Amino acid sequence: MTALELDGAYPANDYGSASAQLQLAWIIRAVHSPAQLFERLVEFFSDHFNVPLDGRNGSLLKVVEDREVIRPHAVGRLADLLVASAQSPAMLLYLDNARSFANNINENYARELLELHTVGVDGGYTEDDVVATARLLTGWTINPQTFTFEFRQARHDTGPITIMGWERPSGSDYQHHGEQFLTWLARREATARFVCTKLARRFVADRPSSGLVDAMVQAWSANDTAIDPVIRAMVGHADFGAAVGTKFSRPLDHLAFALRVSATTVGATTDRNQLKGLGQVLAGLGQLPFGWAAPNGYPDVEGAWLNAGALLGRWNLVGDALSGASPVVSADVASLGDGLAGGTDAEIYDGLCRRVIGQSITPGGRAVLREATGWPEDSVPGNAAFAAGIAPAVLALLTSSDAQYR
Amino acid sequence: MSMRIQRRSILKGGAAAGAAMAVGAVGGPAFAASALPSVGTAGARAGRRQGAGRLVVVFLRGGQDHLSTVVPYTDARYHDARGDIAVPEGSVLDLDGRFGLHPSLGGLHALYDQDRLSVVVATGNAAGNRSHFLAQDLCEYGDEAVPADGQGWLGRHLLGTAGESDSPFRAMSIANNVAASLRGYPALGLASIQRFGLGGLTGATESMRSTLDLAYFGNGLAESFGRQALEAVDEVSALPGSSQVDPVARGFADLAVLMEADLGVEVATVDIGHWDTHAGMGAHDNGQMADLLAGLDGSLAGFQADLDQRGLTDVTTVVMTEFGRRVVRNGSGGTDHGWGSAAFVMGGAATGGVFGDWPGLDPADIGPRGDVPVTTDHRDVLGDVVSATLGADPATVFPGHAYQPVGVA
Repeated sequence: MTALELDGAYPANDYGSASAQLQLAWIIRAVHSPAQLFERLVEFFSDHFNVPLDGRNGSLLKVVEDREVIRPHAVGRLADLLVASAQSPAMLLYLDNARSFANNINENYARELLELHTVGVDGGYTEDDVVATARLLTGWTINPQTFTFEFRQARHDTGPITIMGWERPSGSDYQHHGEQFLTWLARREATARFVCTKLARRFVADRPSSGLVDAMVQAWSANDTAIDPVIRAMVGHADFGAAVGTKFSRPLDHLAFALRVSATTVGATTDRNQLKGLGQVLAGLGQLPFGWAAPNGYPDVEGAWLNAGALLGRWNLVGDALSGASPVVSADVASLGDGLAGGTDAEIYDGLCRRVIGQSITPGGRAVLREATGWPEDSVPGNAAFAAGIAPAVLALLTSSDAQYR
Repeated sequence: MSMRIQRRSILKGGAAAGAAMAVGAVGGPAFAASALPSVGTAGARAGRRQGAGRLVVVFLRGGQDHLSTVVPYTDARYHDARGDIAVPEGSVLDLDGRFGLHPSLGGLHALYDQDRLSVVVATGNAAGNRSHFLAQDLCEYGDEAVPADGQGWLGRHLLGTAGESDSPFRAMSIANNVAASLRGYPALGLASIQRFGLGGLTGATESMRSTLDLAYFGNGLAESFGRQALEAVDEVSALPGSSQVDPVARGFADLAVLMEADLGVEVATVDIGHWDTHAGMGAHDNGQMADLLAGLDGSLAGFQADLDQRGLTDVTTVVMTEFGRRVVRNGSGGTDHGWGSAAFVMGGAATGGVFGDWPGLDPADIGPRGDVPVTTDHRDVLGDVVSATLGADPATVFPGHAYQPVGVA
C-alpha cells in the first residue's frame, strides 16, 4: 500500500498495527527467509539510514520506505540508495529537510547526511559545508496530499554553492544538482572508508583490520559504489572466516539465531493483541526492530550490549520464545532430539551441542546439561526422561555464554 | 592477519575443573576482561563504599535548548532571535532578575527557592562539536578528544576505587544499555525492577537457576556479567518495583527504591531523550518544548520528592546535555545544533543559586554561527559534584583538565 492508502486503512488510533506488522515481518524474514545475506544487508542499511517507527507519520512512511527505498537498493549501488533515501518521505520528515527553506534553512538532514550517511564525522567537512549542503537541498520536500517526494523550486536556494570542493554546475535543473552532489558524495574515498568500516564491523569484528577495510574500499571504488562486490571482497577475506564465534550478537541476532536453531515457526498475524504482546517481548531486549530513536542506528559493538541486565533479558527472551509467550511463535524443540534417543547421556549432550552451537561439547558443558536434564551420569535415558530432558538442555545451551557470540 | 579470539566456554577450552565450564581466553574489545574488577562474590552481602554520597547523572539526549529552559529574559536580543518560540518576559519563573526558568519548570523552581537547585548557564564541552554522537562521547569521556583508555568519567572514578565496593549495583544505568560515562567499569543495566528477574513472561527460565550458576562460572567477560546478573537478581527480587508505563517515570521510581534498599548503589545514570528540537518547538504555554519541559520537571522534582520522603539526603542529581541549541530560530520553528547549554545540580550536595558567566547575546558574543558560548567547562561543574558527593579528586576523574571549582556543590 502507498502511504496514502495506509493512512486511509489505519484510523488514527490504530496506525501502530502497521508498524507492528513491519516489526513482525522483520522477525519472520530473519528466521525463515532463504536470502539471509540480503536480509542482513537490509538490516545494515536500515541502521545506516535509520528512521524510527515513531508517531503516525513516521510509522506509516517508514513502512513504505522499507519496501521502496531500503529493500530495492540494499544490494544495489550506494549512490542510488543515497538519492532514494534523500528523497524518501520518511527521511524528509524525520530529519526535517521537508521543512527547510531558502534563506531560512534547517540543517538537520544535511549534517547527518555528511556525518552518518557518507563521509563520517572525520570526513573533512566544515560547518560551512553543512550549511551549503542544506542550501543545496532546500525545496526537497513532500507533497502533503500524496505523501510523496516533491521538489518545490519556490523554496529552493538557487545561488552558487560549493561543498567540500564540489561546485554547483550552471543551468536551472536545480533538483538534478542535488542528485549530482549526492552521487559525487557516494563516490568519495571517505564515504567508501566510512561505510566499509561499518559493514566490516557489522559482519566481522568490532574493530576490523585495516587490511579488510582496504580490500572493501578497493572493491567499492572499482565498482562505482556497488555493494555486492564490497560484500564479496569482505567474505573472501581471511578475517571473515576467522571471526566465527567472536562477535557478541546483538539482541535481535541472538533472537533470530535461537528461533532458527530451535526449529521455530513464526507466523504472520494482523491481530493487534498478538502484535502488542510480541512488541512487549522485544522491547525487553532493548532492540525493537526499527525502534532506535536517534539517526545513527543501533550500536554495533560489544560494549554497548553486554552487561548483566542485558544477559538476564536474553535468557528470559529465549525461554519465553521457546515456551510460547507469543501465539505467533511456535518452537519445535523436541525435534532437536530426533535420532538421539537410545544414546548415552554424553552422546545426546554432544549431539544437541552440535545442533545448537555447532561444535562438540566439553566436560564442563556436560556438567551443565546434566544439571539441566537431571539424567544420571553415564546413563541411557529412558523414553520419558529423554522426552523431558531435551527442552531444558536446549535452553541451557541457548542461555550459555557460547550462544551469545556469533 | 587476524588473530582468532576464542570465547567459547561450553564447548572448548581447557581444564574443566570440577563442574566449571571451560573458559576460553578473552581478547581486548571495548574493555579487556583483565581490566575489570571482579564484581560480587556469590553469597557475599554487597559491600558499600563508606563515607561517600551518591550521584545520579541525568543525560538529556539530543542537545537540550538552554534558552528555552534557563531564559535570559531581560535580553531583548533573545526575544528578537526566537520570535514566536520565545518565552515572554512575564511568563518566566524568575531566578535572579536576569534569568528565569521556563513556566513548565515549577517543581524545579520551588527547589531553587529552597536553595536546593544549582543552575549553571553557558556551560558545556570546551572542544565543542555539533555532532550529537561525538559531542555525547566527549561529554561522557569527560575529555576534549576520545581518550586512549576509552574510559568514561564515572568509569574512571569507579575503576580507581574498585577495591572499596563489591556491590553488583555500585554503578548502574536505568536502561537496557549502560551509559558511556560508565565505560571501563562493569555497570549494571536495569530498565525495570519488575522485569529484572529470572523467569520472563512464562516463567521458563525460573527453573534454570542452578544450571545458569553452573554455566556462568568462568573468567570470560560474558561469564563475569552472567554471575553479576544472578547475584543482582537475588537482591532485587524482594523489592517493590514501579508498574508505571512511562519508562522515565518508572525508572526514577525504581531508582529511589534501589537507593533506599541500601544495595550499594553509588552512581546511577538516567537518559531522557527527544531534545533534538529542530522543528516546531512551539509557544511557551502550548507545544513541544513546553511539554518536554513539563515532563522533565515532573521527573526531576518528583524524584527529589521521593528521595526526600525516604530520607535519602545523600543523593545528588546532576543534569547535563551534549550541547545547547542555536540562538536564532530556524526555518521550521525549531533550533539547530549549537554549543553552550544549561546544567542543573539538584538535592543532596547542591548549594543552590545561579552559576557561570553570561557573555550576552550580542553578535560579537555569539560568533558567526550564533551559539551561546561556553564560559564554564562542564568538567568544572562535574568536578564540584564528584568531589562533594563521591569524595573523588577531579584531577583523577578528568585527567588533563585544570579543574576550577564553580561552587555548585
